[in-house]
Amino acid sequence: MEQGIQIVSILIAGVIFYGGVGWLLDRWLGTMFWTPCGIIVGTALGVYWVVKKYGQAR
Amino acid sequence: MGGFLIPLEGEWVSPGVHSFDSRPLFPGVLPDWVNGHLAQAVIGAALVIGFWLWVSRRQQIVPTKRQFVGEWLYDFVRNNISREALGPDYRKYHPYLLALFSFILVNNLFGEFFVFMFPTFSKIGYAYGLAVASWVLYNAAGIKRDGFGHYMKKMTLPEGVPIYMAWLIIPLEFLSNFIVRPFTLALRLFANLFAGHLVILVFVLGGTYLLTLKDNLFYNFSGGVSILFSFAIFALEIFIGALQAYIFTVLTAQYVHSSISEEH
Repeated sequence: MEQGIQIVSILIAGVIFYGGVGWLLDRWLGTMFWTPCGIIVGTALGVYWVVKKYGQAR
Repeated sequence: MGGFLIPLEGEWVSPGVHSFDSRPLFPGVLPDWVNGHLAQAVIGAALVIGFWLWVSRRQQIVPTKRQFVGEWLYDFVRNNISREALGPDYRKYHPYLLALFSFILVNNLFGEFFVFMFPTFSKIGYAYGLAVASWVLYNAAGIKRDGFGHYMKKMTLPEGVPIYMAWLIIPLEFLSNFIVRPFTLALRLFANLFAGHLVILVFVLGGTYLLTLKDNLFYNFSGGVSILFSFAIFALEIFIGALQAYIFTVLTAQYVHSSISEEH
């Protein structure tokens, strides 16, 4: 359960952080596409990091 | 119909967020933040303190019933939460976890029983307060064990990160360990109790309204069914209240464990 909760919070953190970076870029540059890009990148990084961190066979 | 039902026969106002507003207890005399919900949180704390003082008084080798109940509850939290998550160093953290569990449990049960009929943690501020307390505890435990620098390094840059990925991973780990954890703790507790209490309000208030409506037998019947059904929801809410108290405590214990353990 401990691991499960950590995985969920990493996935959420990825979306929030890189989505937030994208949103700030959008605000700064006046564009419309960085927020979805950031969310996708954040999701991908979250999944990558979860697989890397917890993925080894035990 | 009895006279006491007359206020219900007016305009129908469906229960909503406004049903959770706090009203000052003594307007004008005491500041406005002294409201019923604060009072019930304080009473809950007093009940918890009183209960544990009462069961731990005059302990004997052959326990009385009172001591047995206390030991049973103590053992329940110790075996299933503290020792399970923290291993042999559970002793230092057990008092906090036990107090947390009983405080949340009592306040959640306030939502289903007379006198208060309101779960304290369906006000989000109280849930944030508990989350902050747990946040301070697990960070302080980690900092005390490793020192500030090492603790921050452990929580943000775990071993095995390739150096070119580190700048992408550090914000992830930081956010996940320091921001998302307390927020999810608080929101989980708040949302469960808020939603549960709202469902109860809809069933009971709506049922009463329909039951006392004039000249419509079908509505009256539906209202009666709705009120009967609300007892099932009350039972569900008692279960959810206990479950959320348990989950909050387990997660706090696991966060403490993850910050005092060598590597996750």
